[in-house]
Amino acid sequence: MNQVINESNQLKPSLSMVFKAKISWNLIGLMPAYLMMFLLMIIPLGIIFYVSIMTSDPYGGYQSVFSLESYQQILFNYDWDDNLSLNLQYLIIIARTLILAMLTACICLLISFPVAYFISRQSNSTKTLLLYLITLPFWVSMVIRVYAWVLILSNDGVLESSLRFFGLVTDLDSLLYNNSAMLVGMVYSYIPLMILPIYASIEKLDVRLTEAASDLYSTRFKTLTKIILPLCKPGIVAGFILVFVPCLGTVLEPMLLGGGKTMMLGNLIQNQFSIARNWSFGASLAMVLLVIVMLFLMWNASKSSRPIVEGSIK
Amino acid sequence: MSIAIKINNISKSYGSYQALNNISLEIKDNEFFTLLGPSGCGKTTLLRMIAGFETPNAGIIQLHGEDIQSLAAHKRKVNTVFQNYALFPHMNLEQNIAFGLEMIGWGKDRVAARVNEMLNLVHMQQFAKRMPSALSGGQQQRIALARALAPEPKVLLLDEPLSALDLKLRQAMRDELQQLQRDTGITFIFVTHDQEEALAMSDRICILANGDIQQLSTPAEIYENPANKFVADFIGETNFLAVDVVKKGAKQPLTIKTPLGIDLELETDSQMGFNQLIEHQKCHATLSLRPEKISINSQGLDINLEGTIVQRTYMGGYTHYTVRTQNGQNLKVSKRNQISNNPSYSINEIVNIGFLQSSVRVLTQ
Repeated sequence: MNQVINESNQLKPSLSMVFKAKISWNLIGLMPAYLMMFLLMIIPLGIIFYVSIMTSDPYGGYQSVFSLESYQQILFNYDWDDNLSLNLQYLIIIARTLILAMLTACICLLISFPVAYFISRQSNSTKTLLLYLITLPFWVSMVIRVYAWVLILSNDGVLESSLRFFGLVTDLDSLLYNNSAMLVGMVYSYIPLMILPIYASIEKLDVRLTEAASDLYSTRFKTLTKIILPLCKPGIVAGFILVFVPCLGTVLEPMLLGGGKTMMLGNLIQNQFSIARNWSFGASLAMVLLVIVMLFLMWNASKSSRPIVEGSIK
Repeated sequence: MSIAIKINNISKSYGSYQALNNISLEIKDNEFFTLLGPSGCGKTTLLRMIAGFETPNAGIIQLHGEDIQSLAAHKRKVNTVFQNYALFPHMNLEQNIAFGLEMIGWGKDRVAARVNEMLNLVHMQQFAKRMPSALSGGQQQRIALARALAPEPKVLLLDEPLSALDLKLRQAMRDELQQLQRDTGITFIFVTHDQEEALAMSDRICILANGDIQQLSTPAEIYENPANKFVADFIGETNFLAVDVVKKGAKQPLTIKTPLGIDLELETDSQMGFNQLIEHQKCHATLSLRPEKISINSQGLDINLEGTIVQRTYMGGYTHYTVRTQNGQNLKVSKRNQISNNPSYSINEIVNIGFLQSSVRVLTQ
C-alpha cells in the first residue's frame, strides 16, 4: 500500500515535466505533416520558380544564368530589328483560358444546382445510387472519357450521324476542334466536382425552413432566392472553386477536343516543357497561372470573410 | 361566436396507414384550441393540412367560411410556429420577423414599425440585430412567435412549440402564450402530446388517437367525464377496475358489481351505453376513479373500505399512496400535503379509505 503511494508521488514530477515539454512534443507530432508540405509543395514550387528566373537551354532544360527574359516573353517579342514589341498572342491564350474556365464553372452551376436539389429530395437508397452514378465517371481514366467526346462530336460521330438520321441537319460544320467542343468537354469532366459540394449543402438544409418561408407568404421563387440559395452559398462557392481552378490548368480538353488549334494555358505550359523545349518560359507561365489562382482564391476569401452563420436549427 | 376553422370529413392515409379517419370539427373564433394525443395520432397531420403542407385524401377545410383546400400554403392567412422554430439562420431577428411582412408587400416604414411592435410584444427589443444561433431556446421560441404573429394571421398554428424547452421555461411560456392569445385575440390551434400543457392553456381540447377524435370538450369536462377508457387513461392518473353492470329489474337502477366487494348504483344520466341491457343481464365495463377523489381516514363519504398501505411516494406537494383493499385490489390514492392537516401514513399501516359514489365513472369502452 505504502509502496503504491510512493510510486504515485514519484510519478507526479515527471508528469508535470511532460506538460512543460508539451509545445515541443506538439511540434514533433505534427512533423510528418510539415515534412509532407515542405517536400511535396514548397520544394517543387521553389524549383519551378527557380527555373522560371533562369535562362532556358535550347536543347531542353535550363542554364543557371539569372534572367527575367521568360517573363518578358509573355508580353513582348523581339522583332526583326531587335526592338521589343507587344505580343498579344499569350495574353489572348490567358484570357481565353479565364473565360472558358469561368463559363465552364457557370454552366456547371446552372446544371448542378437542380440536379443536387433533385437528389437531396429522394429516398435514402435512391440518393446513394444517384450519388454513386455521379462519381462513376471517376472510375474511368480521364483520357478515355475525353476521347469519348471526340467520338461523339467528330464528323460522322454519334451526334452528327443521329442528327442527320432524324433529318435535323443536312450539312454541318465540324462540331469538333473549337471552343464549344472544349467547353462541352470541360463541363462534362468537372461537373461532379460541382454537384457534390452543392448536394452536401442542400442536404444540410432543413426542409422546415422552406415550409416556414411558404407559411410566411413566400412564393416558390422567393423561397429559392431568399432562403435556399443563401443557405447553400458555402456549397456553391466550394463547387465553383473546385471547377474553376482545375479548368485553368486543364490540358486534355484543349489537346483532344480543341485539336491543338486553340490553346489554353494548360497545354501551352505542357508544350513549353515538351515540344518547344523552353523550360524557363513554361515555368514562368506556370507561375502566372499560380498567381491567377491565388488572386482568385484571395478575392473569394475576402468576399466570404464575413462569418457564415451556421444553422442553429437542429 | 363565428367559426374560424371548419373541418369536414377529413381523411388522410399514407399507404395502408390511416393517419386521419373522417375527422370533423369546428374551431371557434378567438379560441385557444388544443389538438392533444399520443405521437402518431394524426394531430400534426391535421395541423399541417390547415397550414397547407399536406393535402387530405377527402374532406373540406374552411377558414372563416372560405374553402382553402385549393390555396397553396403561401396564400393561406394562417401562420405556423414550428416545433423547432425554423428561424432563418442567415437572417438576424429583425429580418426574420420582417420576412413575412415583406412577402405580402408592406412598405419599409410599416414593416419597421410592426417589427418593433412585435419585438416589444415578446420582450426581445434589445436583441433585434442578433442572429438566431446566438439565442437560447426560449428566446428563439419568442422570436418564432413574433415572426408568426407579425403578419396578423387570422389563425395561429402552434406545432408542439414548448416541447424543446426545459420544465421551468415551459411553464413560464405557458402563461405567456395564454396572455398573448388573450391580448391579440387571434385563434390559436395548439398541438401537443403533453396533457398537462393542454389542460392548463386550452379553452377546448380535442383528443385524437389512431386517427379518430376520442373526445372534444373543455379541459374540466374531459378530466371529470372522460368519454372512454383511452381518454381517462391519457388525461391524468386514474384507477381502473373491471366491473360488471347488472340490470336487476325493470324500474331499478343499474348495479355495478366491483371487485372491491361492494356494489354501486349507476347514476341514471350515465346509463347511455347500457340501454340495450335486458333484465337479469350483465355487461362488462370499466370503472374509473381518480386518485385524488379517494381520501384516507375521512368522515362523511358514501363508500368506505379498509385497506393496507403498500407503497408511498412523496412528491412534495402531494404524496401518492398505493392501498391494497381486503379483496387484494390495489388503489392509487393521492393526498395533498396541506399545512393544517398533514398526517402521513407509513407502509403496512391499516387505513380507512373512502370516496363519493358521484366520483365514480363507468366507461363502456
